[in-house]
Amino acid sequence: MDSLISLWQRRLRDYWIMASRYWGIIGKNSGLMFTLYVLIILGSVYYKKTLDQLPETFPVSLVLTVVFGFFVIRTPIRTFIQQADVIFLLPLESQMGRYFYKSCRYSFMLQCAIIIIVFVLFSPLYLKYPMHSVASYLLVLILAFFVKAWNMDCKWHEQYSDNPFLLKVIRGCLTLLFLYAVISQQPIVLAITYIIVMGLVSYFLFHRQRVNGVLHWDRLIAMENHQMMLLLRFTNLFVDVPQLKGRVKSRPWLNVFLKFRKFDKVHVFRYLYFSIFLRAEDYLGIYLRLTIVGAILSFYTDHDLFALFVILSVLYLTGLQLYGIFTRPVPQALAGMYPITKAVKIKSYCSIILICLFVQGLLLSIITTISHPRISFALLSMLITLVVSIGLSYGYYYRKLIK
Amino acid sequence: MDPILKVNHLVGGYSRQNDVLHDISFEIKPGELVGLVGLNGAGKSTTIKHILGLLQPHSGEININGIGIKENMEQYRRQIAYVPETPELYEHLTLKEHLSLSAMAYGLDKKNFEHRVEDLAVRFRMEKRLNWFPGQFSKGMKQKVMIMCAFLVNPSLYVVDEPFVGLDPIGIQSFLDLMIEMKENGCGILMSTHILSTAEQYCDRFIILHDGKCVVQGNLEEIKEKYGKRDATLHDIYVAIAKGDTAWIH
Repeated sequence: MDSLISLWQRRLRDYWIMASRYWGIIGKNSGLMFTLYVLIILGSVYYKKTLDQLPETFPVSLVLTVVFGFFVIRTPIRTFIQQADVIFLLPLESQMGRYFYKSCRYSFMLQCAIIIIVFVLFSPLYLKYPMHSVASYLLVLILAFFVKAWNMDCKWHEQYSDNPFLLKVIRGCLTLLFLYAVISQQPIVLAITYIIVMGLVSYFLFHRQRVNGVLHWDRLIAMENHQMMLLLRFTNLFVDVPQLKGRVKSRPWLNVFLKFRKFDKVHVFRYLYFSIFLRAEDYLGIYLRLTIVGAILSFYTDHDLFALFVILSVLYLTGLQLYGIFTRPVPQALAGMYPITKAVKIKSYCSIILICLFVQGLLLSIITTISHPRISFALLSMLITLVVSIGLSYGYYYRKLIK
Repeated sequence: MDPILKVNHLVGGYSRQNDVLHDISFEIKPGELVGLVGLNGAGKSTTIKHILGLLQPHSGEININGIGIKENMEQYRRQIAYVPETPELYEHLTLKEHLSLSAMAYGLDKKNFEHRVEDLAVRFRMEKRLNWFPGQFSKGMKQKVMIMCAFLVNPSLYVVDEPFVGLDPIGIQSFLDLMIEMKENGCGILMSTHILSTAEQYCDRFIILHDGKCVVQGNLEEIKEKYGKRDATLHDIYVAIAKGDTAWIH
């Protein structure tokens, strides 16, 4: 059906328009671009150094097989299928062959591009060894495309299976074996044998799924959403992405910290805010990352004043990040209706912020004092911790919110 | 007997320029289950939002046991439990944690709480799901969580907005049983619903809203008498009003 093909094309175009906007936002973040340049330059210097130091016995074929194998076996299919399609397109499934074929071909080409990049990145490692040549590397690349195409075909037929786990294992193993045979330049008979096995497996196993099973639309949607999320999550490192609000992780191992200390009104919002800190929106992740970065910086600096400045900045930045805990929407029918005054609510929030900042400051002070073992330094860093954590929570936030 | 809820000449809505509710007055006495019925857009949810104190009346007043929300917000709210039309939960808290927070907020002691939770969980077949997160719940289960939170605490007034949607038959029956128990304990209940057969069976009185006005209120006999047909059902009367047959009201 032509209209299905034009639907596919429109969706592809819409996706690229949206994606280019996101990349635009990321690109405009000049701090990021600068960091990237620095990382690339530093990375290439260290890459060169590491290569020079590699011993002759380094299992280069194995390493390359694992790296290329990862990119060849990982075969997501961009179908641009949406949740509502389960209602509107499901009746047309039998006519959607071309639609899905286009999806597979598009995904194949995109993933081949990624494989080329990986190949270029790893070419110095491959060519370092005398038995390797540019021609043999190009042959590996072409065969990698071939095995990628096979993976794509198998992956599509996996979508018809109820339990594709075993199929994935077979596909993965065969891919790795084949890649290893090619990269380590084993006798050509072996590679040809693998190709024959792959053909047989395709025919007798993967294509059979389609005869016996139905297309699992829910899995297609999950796969599509997952790939959308990758872009959103990456963008979220630089700007807030509203679609990613409300993410929750249960983190049961942290429940030792989350106890009902007292069963009364005052502790309702303390529990609520602390549980948000531990489980929602990755506040905990931000907190830990800032703490670790601060600890490393202040530990390795020789200068007392600079170390104190790092502790102060980390506390301040963490305090700013944790403001969202208070403004995060809560269910109107529950938290909105509790017979608890606004003042109690705000005090609960401030007490949680105070605890989080104080613990962070304490940790940083202890770690830093190990590399700056002076009483005066320990006292000063504790003083800063106290002043900033109380000042930000009960001072600044309390006043700001109580208005 | 003093009424629990008193709504007196309430005029209200979402913006001052546009009144949605026009001069609504009614009362709920202890032990009464009052049905709030009306078409979509008649003003049921708006009335409920005013009673909960989420909207400010343009004029008129609302009291619960003689207290307005402006006089003492804490005490006013402590006397209401609310079951919303669409369940809304904390995505990051388990069922047990939802219940604990409600119990703490409304001043239940721990022993009493454990006892009540067990009872409620068994009634709604949720005893194995106390440590689950809302992400794992179906819509009906989420609605059960809202109902359990509301019936855990001991308020004087229950406000329930369209509670039957998505509930399984066991859930509906447990919910109706609980309402009857609370009535017997002397609570007042205001229930908005479209399920007229159930409403007819369980409600003591009805308030019929139409275009933001309270067109008729009373028990089923009184309303039938006014309508003029003794064998009419609530459904017939409701449809008649909706079709504009309102001459008998005045």
